[in-house]
Amino acid sequence: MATAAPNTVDALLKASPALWRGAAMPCMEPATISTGFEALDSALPAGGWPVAGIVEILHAQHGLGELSLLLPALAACSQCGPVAIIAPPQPLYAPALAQVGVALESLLWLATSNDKDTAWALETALRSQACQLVIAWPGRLRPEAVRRLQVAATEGRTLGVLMRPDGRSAPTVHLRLRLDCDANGQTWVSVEKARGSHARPRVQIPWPVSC
Amino acid sequence: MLNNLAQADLFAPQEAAKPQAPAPLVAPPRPLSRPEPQTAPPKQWLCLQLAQLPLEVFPHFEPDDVVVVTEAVGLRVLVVCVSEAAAEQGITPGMTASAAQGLAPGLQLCPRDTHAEARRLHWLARWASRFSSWVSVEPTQTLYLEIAGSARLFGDTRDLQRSLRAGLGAHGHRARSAVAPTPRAAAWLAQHAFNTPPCIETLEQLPGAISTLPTAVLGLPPQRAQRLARAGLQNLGDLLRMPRDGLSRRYGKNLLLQLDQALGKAPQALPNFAAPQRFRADVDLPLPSAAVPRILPAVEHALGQLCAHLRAHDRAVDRYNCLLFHEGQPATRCTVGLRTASRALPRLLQLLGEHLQRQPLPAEVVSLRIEAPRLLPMNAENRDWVTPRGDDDWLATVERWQARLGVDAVRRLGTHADHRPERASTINGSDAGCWPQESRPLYLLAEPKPLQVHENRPIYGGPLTRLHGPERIEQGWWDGADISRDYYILRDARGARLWAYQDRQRLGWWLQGVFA
Repeated sequence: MATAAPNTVDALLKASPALWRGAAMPCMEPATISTGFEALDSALPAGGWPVAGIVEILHAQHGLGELSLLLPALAACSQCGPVAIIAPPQPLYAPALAQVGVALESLLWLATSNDKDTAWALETALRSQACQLVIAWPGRLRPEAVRRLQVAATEGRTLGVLMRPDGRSAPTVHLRLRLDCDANGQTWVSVEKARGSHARPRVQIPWPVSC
Repeated sequence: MLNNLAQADLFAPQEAAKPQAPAPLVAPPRPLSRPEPQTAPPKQWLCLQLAQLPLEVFPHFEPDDVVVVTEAVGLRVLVVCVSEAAAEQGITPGMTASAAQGLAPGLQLCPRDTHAEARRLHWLARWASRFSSWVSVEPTQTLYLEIAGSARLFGDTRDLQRSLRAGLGAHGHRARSAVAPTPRAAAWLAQHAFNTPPCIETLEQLPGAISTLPTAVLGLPPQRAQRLARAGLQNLGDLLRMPRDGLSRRYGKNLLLQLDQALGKAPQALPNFAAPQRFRADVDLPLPSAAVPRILPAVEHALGQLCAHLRAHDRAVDRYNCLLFHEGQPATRCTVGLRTASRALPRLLQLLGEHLQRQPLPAEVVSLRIEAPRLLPMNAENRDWVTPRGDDDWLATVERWQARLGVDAVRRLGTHADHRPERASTINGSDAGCWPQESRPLYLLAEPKPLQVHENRPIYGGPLTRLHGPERIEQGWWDGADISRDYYILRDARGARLWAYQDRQRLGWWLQGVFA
């Protein structure tokens, strides 16, 4: 009995990220959306994507798997409600989305002609309260605009993902990930900034295609 | 014949009192006959007489003003409607305007505006439709409401009458009203209803109720009215005592028909007032302006009228126009389309606001018009109270996007059953629900991009590593757009995964997609 008790506590602490530990920073989001990658889930302080807030994903170029990183969450959210993808750099291809279980009827793709419209559409989507997940390529964003988005996402209880292929980032986001690729072609995700944790883990993401 | 009937009636109770045979346990088969004709429930008509309507249509009219409305009849100008204060000075309808001015030196004369009266009467009919499903308009000052079906929703007949008159009073109208089982009797009674509005419940009470009314309510031509007076027929009771054939011969069939209609012996057709199935509201701006924030309050006012109209008629709009009028310039026009028909003011206003923000205005706006070309039946909204995320919010957001970014900018993806990659994805089309099982890239370039070839291998910013392939796709020989390609998944020097193909017809390499 005396030996079993610490294990139970450990298991509890591990299983439920909502439990507050005195030693750690307080956990910001009790509920999360699973990323679909076990390694990444455990690397993020909340145990997954936050339900409300802004996440930044920096990647040096297109094609590193930046959208694949979000696909499990996109598929899960699209099954429960509308999701939006705003201003992707290239036309989206429906069969690839359908293959991973994205409900196409609840996915909206917004094509915008300038960064101002993109920021506006992103903010309205975050504020609408109907949408669970919004992925956008916002282009150039001023820090105060990111702050606005942060407030909109929190009020609308929506997860907004900013794709930053140029490597520019805003200082105010709560969660920032960077994607890169090593010499062997393996994709790595490093947590550059995460509110609620000082750790900066780096995890490898398996390339999901079945080949 | 009459005697026989009376005898039969006399005997009826005795027959009913006879002991009857016990009812058989098995019901006898019912004869296959027509169902009994359903008798319509008795109707109750409420008539509103707006005798002061010619005065009340003037916006600045006050009941204390000494004012009359005049109308030109032939070469003379006659008084047709008299305010209370003017009536106290002895002015009566039918006087010439000069005679009236002789009686009251400070008299104000207003020429009659029959168009305004008709508009006002129709507006009141629309307003009265909240009390009854059957409202009928009779020019120039009469409204009929069938209230047997709706009176109990307001309490009883008297309560309904009270709230109707109170509502009219709030809109600046005074009306006389009466309730009777036939519309004609109600109209006659209303003309002579003064303090307590008469309320006749059954047909049997009708002859007694109308017999005291003067024959003037019939509205006969003057000559015939004089003949009635000379014959000593002062009120309707006198007429009802006369033999029918004689009345008809001397004073015309119309008189008899009116009496029969009043007593419910002859039908009277009353059309149901139908509100026009479109809407238009004009609003003048207090100050001409080209700034959208200054125009918006007027827009909101006009849209508020539209929404009130829609609510009153249980209708909704899916499209409406806003015209902004300028001085000496053609009007600016915005058309707002909605994804689903609605009558929610915030939604309509927000969409129009988005349009106006993007609409360049050539000059200052002096007035604006909101028009809805068609009104659709309103479908009740189904709200899910379990999940807080509402569909309404989402629809409203999508509409705002379409309003600002354009309809084509908001896209929905679908799959199409075709092996040719460029045809397997559709935008705003139907969804086939099937897709290939091989891996496909998340981005498909709008146009395949030719790749340079070095020593028989494609290069794209450096050498490419083959990850998977080839996957051969040969399709479309039947419709002239045939392809024959070997697809490869390649990785470039910086780690990006690309989808490229070697064209077997054109002999070359093309980049078509990116695995993002």
